[in-house]
Amino acid sequence: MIELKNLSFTYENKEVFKNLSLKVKKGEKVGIIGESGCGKSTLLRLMAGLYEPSSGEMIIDGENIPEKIIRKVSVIMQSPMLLPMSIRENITMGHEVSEDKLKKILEDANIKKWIDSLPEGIETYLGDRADELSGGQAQRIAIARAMCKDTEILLLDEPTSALDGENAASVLEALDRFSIGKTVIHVTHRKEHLNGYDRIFNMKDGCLFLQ
Amino acid sequence: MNKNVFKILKELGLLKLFTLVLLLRLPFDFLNAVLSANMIESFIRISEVKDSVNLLKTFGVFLFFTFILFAYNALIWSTISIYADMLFHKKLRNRILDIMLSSTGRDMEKLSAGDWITRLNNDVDRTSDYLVTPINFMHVSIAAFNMFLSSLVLVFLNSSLYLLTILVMIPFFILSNVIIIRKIPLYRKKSQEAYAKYTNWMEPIIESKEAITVFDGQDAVMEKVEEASREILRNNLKAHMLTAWSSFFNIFSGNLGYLLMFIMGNSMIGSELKDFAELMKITQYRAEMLKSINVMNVGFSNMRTNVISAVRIEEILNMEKENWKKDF
Ligand SMILES: Nc1ncnc2c1ncn2[C@@H]1O[C@H](COP(=O)(O)OP(=O)(O)O)[C@@H](O)[C@H]1O
Ligand SMILES: [Mg+2]
Repeated sequence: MIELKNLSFTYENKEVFKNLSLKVKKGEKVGIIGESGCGKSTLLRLMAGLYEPSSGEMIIDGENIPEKIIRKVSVIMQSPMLLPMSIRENITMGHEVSEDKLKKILEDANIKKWIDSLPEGIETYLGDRADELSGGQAQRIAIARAMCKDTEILLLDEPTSALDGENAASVLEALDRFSIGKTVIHVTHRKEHLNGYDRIFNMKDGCLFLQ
Repeated sequence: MNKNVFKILKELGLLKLFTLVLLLRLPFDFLNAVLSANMIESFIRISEVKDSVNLLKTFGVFLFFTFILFAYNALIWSTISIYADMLFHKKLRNRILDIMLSSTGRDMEKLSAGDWITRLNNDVDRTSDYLVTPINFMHVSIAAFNMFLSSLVLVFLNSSLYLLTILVMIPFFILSNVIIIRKIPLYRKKSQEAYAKYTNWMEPIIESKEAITVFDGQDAVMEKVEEASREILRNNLKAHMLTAWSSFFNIFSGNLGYLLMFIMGNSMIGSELKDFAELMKITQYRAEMLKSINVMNVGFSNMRTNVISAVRIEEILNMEKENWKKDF
């Protein structure tokens, strides 16, 4: 499902990793931990097709060029990356989604109750800074957005690191539900969030060490 | 002057400077009016008696005065007013930045990032437009002064022709300057708000670029940004249409007045008017008066267009004093 072969990546003059290889089977859940600055986010962005490797090859869900890889993955990053439009538009990103599917997504993402309590519901505009939106709520909207795209592969880059305990728990719960049956790469600095994962790697000096 | 602009000038400590700049310019247009009216009358008189030596001499005298007046306006006054305007920009931007930097998070949140940026740039420019460029408060005051003196001269020269001029103008003036342009500030306000919305998009587009790419949201984002930019355009267009209608009625009433004046004036020659040269002199004063009224019309409409920015700036200056009103 995911295959990285001798992958190297360099920012203008800084080499992040060299000859990195990794194979992940369909439905496998892989965690990556490591000190900040070691290159975890860079690796994840590569797998998302957002960056192009300096050398080496990668095959993600049968695709090997970044523009096509992008279509095969969903990404949830540390920042929810919300846009100044309605909650609905932030979730669907302008794509056609049935009301039934949307309702299920809101439930799975743990935000149905909260959205229903808003005066304008899912049409609430998110651009206004005065809007009281907690980090947890924002991140769960980002999860709903990923659920909407519903790809085989899910890439998570420290999705809870900006959240307090309670919010993080609620986000993790939504993520667990979403991850069922999917191939997941989860980058985090908190190992306890990787309970039940098939393999956990420690990233160091541009290499992945199995824990 | 609009009270918001007045308060801004006072707060920035520039009221005296702007008053001085205005006073320096105030008599210019009227002096110019006197000069051109007398020039026309003299030339017609001289050319009727075919005194070419006197013609050259008179020409020289008028040329000299014209030169003095324009040199004063173009060199001295313009330099001073540009300096005042630059100072205004600098002080106002610094003031807003100062408020931004020293305000609490809660205060900052009262406006979106786009709104802050719009007010800091666009609204500051427009408030300065209100005061100085292109034809605004400064010019309106000068024109009003010129109009007053030109009318005074007209009343003395021939009160019935003056009355005619005024009577023709009044209904159109009301139509154009009271009824038609009333809604301009509303459209400008909407346009500035749409501008803020548009500006608001820039930061998220940069910060959330990856999410837009991964979730294939380019079309949705484009649509949204275009919507905001269409809204700017739509409201500007509405305001612009009103301005156009208003200026149409002004020009129409001006020309109608000319026509009536010539018909009536011609029948007066020999009785209430000495000769054609006098009629031309009166026409010239009327032209000056009309010119001032047109400047005032354009100025009023420009001021209407830009005053909303002064209100938006005032809101920020008031922020510190904690009497913020959400809807101005
Ligand atoms: N856009 C960039 N340009 C240059 N260097 C970068 C850029 N992004 C990250 N880096 C550098 O690459 C290294 C890996 O960064 P990153 O992948 O974000 O690490 P991690 O996610 O493990 O904290 C860091 O040393 C960081 O400074
Ligand atoms: Mg990182």
